[in-house]
Amino acid sequence: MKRPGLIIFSLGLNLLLAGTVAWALHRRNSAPPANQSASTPPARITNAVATADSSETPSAQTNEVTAPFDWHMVESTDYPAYVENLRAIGCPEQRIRDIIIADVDDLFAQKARDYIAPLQSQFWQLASHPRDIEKNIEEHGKALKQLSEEREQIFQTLFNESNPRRSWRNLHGDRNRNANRNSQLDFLDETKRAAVIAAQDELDSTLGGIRQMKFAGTREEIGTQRLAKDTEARKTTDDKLRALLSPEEFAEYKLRNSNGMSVRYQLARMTISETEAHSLAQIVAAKSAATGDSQAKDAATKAAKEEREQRAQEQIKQLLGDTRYAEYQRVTDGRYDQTARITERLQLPEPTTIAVYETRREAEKLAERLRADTSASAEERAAALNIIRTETENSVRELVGDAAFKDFQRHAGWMEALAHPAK
Amino acid sequence: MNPILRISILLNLALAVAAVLILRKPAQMTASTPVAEKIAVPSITGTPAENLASNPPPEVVYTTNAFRWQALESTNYADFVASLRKVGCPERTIRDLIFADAERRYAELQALPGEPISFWVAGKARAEANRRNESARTEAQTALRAELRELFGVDWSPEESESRDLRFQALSRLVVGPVSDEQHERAWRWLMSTVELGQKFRSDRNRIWLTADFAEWQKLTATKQAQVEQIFGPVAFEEFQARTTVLEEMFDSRVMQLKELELTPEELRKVCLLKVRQLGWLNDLFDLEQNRSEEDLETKKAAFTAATKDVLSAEHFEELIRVQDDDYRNILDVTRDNNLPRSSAQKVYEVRQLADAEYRRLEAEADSDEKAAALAALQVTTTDSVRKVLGAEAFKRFTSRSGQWVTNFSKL
Repeated sequence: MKRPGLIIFSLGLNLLLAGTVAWALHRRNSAPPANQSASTPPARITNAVATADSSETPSAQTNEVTAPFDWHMVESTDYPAYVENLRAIGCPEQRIRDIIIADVDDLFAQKARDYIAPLQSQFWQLASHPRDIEKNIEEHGKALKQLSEEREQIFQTLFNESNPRRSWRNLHGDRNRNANRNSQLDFLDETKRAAVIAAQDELDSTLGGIRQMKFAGTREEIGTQRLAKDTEARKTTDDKLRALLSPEEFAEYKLRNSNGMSVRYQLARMTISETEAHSLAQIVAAKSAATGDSQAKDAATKAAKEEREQRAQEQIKQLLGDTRYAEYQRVTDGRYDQTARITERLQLPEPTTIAVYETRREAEKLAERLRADTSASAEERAAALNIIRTETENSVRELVGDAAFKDFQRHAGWMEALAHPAK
Repeated sequence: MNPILRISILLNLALAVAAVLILRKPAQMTASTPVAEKIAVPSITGTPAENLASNPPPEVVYTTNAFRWQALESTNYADFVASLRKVGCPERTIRDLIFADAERRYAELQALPGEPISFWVAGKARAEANRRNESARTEAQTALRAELRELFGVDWSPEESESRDLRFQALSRLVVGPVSDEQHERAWRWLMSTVELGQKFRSDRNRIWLTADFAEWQKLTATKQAQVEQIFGPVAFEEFQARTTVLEEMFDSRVMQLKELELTPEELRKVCLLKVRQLGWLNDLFDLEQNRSEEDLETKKAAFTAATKDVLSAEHFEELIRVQDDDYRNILDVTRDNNLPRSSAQKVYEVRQLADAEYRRLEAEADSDEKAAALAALQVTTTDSVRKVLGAEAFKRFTSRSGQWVTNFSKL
């Protein structure tokens, strides 16, 4: 009885194994490639092909089918998760900030909108009580400030700074400042330039510290103490730079940091060489240095100042020669610039500008003399001033032409002012 | 052993081996290629060496599924935007990204060194080099703005991140009125572009306006006004005009002395719309007063004030007339500071006007004892009347400040 039972069991096993083999063979033939079946992306993790559109990859050559990357895979209402997802796909930090800052800003703009919505219908009611507006502004300002602080807190948590926009602006500002300083120090080699910039930074920091210092005494005393500290800090920096630079370099450094350097911009209507500009800057800087910061208005100070001015003018005359000195005087007179701005718009030639300017100078000189003439009555002076005005207007009309005169007159209030009894 | 049983056992063994071999092979491949590993494949396309040996068909190319941001980046905005759109990045995020980048790019263009200028180059040469650099800078910045307009259909401004200030947002919402988010954004973009248009127009002309410029500017402002009307539609546009006029008057009282008035909400709105019709809208923004003479302005203002009679109650109209007078406003200040009703200010003002008229009439007469007595009596009456209205304390303060005329007519 045992044998027939064994045979039946073995045959049954044969059938079972044959079925298993047949099923396995069928499964193997009909199953998709293994790597293809594994292509389902994990949630939120990017798994697209490198090109943005997966259809561009020829299917015959690819052994895996991937779902294309979609923005939703990184986007999240949870900001830290959003930031992490963006970092995970290699999004640059600045771009992450751009995305998140704008998103947070939009969120808070909505909050501001919701806050203000109930007031929309009360606009005219509020506006009709203008005296209460300050009170209203204060009240609503507080609520909005609180919203701003909430926003800053989010930025602080995400980016470790409450105003992340400021960082690139500061960086940009620093870059511009350094570019300007490098240009100003272009006469120095790189090592010296770096040392000077470091000394300037140190001075800036010291001066900043002085501004924060608390001094005792009256307002004037505090001012004096602060100025003394300030001067001392500047002197320390100068001593440091004097030791670092040659005497010529130090002189050039000081000149480029003096108000003499502004001659580069002030003579926009005159042709002047670099050497002349440099010499002119030296004259201007020397005059300013001699005058110092003195605000005294006594006669002696005034006389000394006038003398220095006269000496400086003599030196400039010597530098430029008589003709160009006259030109220098003209272009540094605000009245010439005023005239030139109008004539340039009217597309009139330079000689016309000069002629109009000279006419104005003469007319104003004459009017001034008349106003000071006490031998004439007020009526006589007024009549004479009116004549000057009319004659000047006629001369200018002739110079600029009839067509342009109306436009010229609109911007040349000085012609009308000629008739005023007092300057 | 039974031969059937022997064959059956051998067949069992063979089938078992076959089944194991068939079943084992695919199970091992699945396990070797987990998802995470595939994501980590570094190369974009390639043929891994370990598969070459066991799975050599040359037509199979492995493609990484690790998405990198770099695939989207481009310095060309149009390409960058196209890539972002392809991956389903929301339009708003695309715009935020590009606008933030544009702000930096614009600032960099502003700081471009341009043609190098030696330190001591001065005079015309420096001015001309600066002009060339400025012109190149402006050209690049204008091109950037045009590109953004082309991509997003809006006027981008380098200043627009300033509008993220929540107080600005709230105020602008309040002023623009109950409009949609899109209309609100278009409205402040319009405002910024209008401000810039004016700045550029003036700066291009060195702030010297010629006759032809006025006509050109008028055309430009008409277009701008039509644009904003289109944003809002007629009803919301009218509301916007009225609300902006209130603000204009509140911050820079020129016509109405709004701060001194207590009109009803309906009156205020009507009077603002009247001002728009009679004197124009947003005069500063549109430089409307550039080409108007003082006389012209005064005439227009007088006509406006007269027209307000139709939209104000008689009492409020009289008050509007009164507040145009500095003297009345001074009196109003005192009554307000002393918590006195507006009617007290009106009474004191009336006393002032009567006293002023009588004083001038008497002053015109030849000097005499009667004249002196009449003037003295007038002064006493005036002082008493004002003291009675204001009360002792307010009277003291008033007469020590702007109300010196009460005790001394020469200050009238």
